[in-house]
Amino acid sequence: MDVSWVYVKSEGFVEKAIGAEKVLVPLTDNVANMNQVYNLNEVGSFIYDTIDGEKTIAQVHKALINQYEVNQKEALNDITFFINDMVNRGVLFVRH
Amino acid sequence: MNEEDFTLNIAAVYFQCRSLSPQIHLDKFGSISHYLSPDTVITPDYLLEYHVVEILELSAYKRVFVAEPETNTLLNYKWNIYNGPGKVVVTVDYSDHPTIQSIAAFIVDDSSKITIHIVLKYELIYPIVIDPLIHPFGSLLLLYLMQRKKGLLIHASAVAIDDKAFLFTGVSGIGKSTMARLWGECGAQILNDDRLVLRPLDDKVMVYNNPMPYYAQHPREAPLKAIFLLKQSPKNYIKQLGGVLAFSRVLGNFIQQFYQQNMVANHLELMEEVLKRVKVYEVGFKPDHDIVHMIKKMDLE
Repeated sequence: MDVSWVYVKSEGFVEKAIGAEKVLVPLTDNVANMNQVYNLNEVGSFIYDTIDGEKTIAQVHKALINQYEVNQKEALNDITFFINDMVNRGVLFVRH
Repeated sequence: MNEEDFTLNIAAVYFQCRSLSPQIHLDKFGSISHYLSPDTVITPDYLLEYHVVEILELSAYKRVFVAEPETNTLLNYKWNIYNGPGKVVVTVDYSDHPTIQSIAAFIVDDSSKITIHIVLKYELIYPIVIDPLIHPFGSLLLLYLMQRKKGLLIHASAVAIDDKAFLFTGVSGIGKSTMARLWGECGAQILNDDRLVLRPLDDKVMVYNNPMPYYAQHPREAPLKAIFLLKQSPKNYIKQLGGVLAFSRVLGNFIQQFYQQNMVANHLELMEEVLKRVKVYEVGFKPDHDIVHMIKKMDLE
């Protein structure tokens, strides 16, 4: 993953915040698939909310460090893991 | 009120039913008979107007869902959902109903009047009597109309004792009916063992039964104290679930056939309203009265 990349959210999900966490419900042909729901923990939710189709990964990284006072390497690992997972599930994709 | 109109009270939502065609009489003695509201002066939440039409005019709508036809011995049908701007149309086509070909409800955002069109299979000599909530049309209609009144339908059983209701849900065959029966044996009232309506109202959530296609039951309601997700287990345990885990585990048990993103979003909002007020527990149980006593002893406040 290149830190200059920008990620966009798929429109095929309905999100619901539960406190600082989040549930993502996939829509297939506009039908909610309640059996394939994704749970995001607090950090996942923060990364997901920060990704807006404009910010680069470097900017998301910086925001995460400011928010949680984690070290740079750990923050980048979290972001890389989260984004790879979300890309595999069709939740996020790279903006070209 | 016209002379033949009647009003149903389902989950404290009032539905006035009216036939506008001489060919159909709406049946108040079938599945809905116990839900007739004795109160005739209230302003209904919905006015359901039934008309006989030659054909269903749906060209202004886009079909967004076709249900897989289910084969069953009682009644074969298929149903569809259509969307238009600010409108949803629910249609059911009956392949082996003796007189009804199709029935469709036109649900318009912000309108309390629901126009229902019925296409008959042939011209009738005598009027027919139909159940205004004919299966499965009635269930679909309730689902959509309840959402607008902050009501959710859930596949679950529920029991009430001392004006406290407990709801049990989980996958089919997990023991929802068994759990209800155990409570019944211990003196609790079974609200229903298949489908219930939940409505967050003020600081509580009310749970109601609702008309079921194949059995008659009097209306019942109680304030909900807890939701239990059932697991079969060699020994009894109760574990509280919180936050996103509780939410996502309960999610799949709510009935939802919404084909618009905003309706799915509303559905999730309502679920949150419920879970803010009622705790969720996972309960493993073996089917005897011990689990009833264990739950009764819980401190749910």
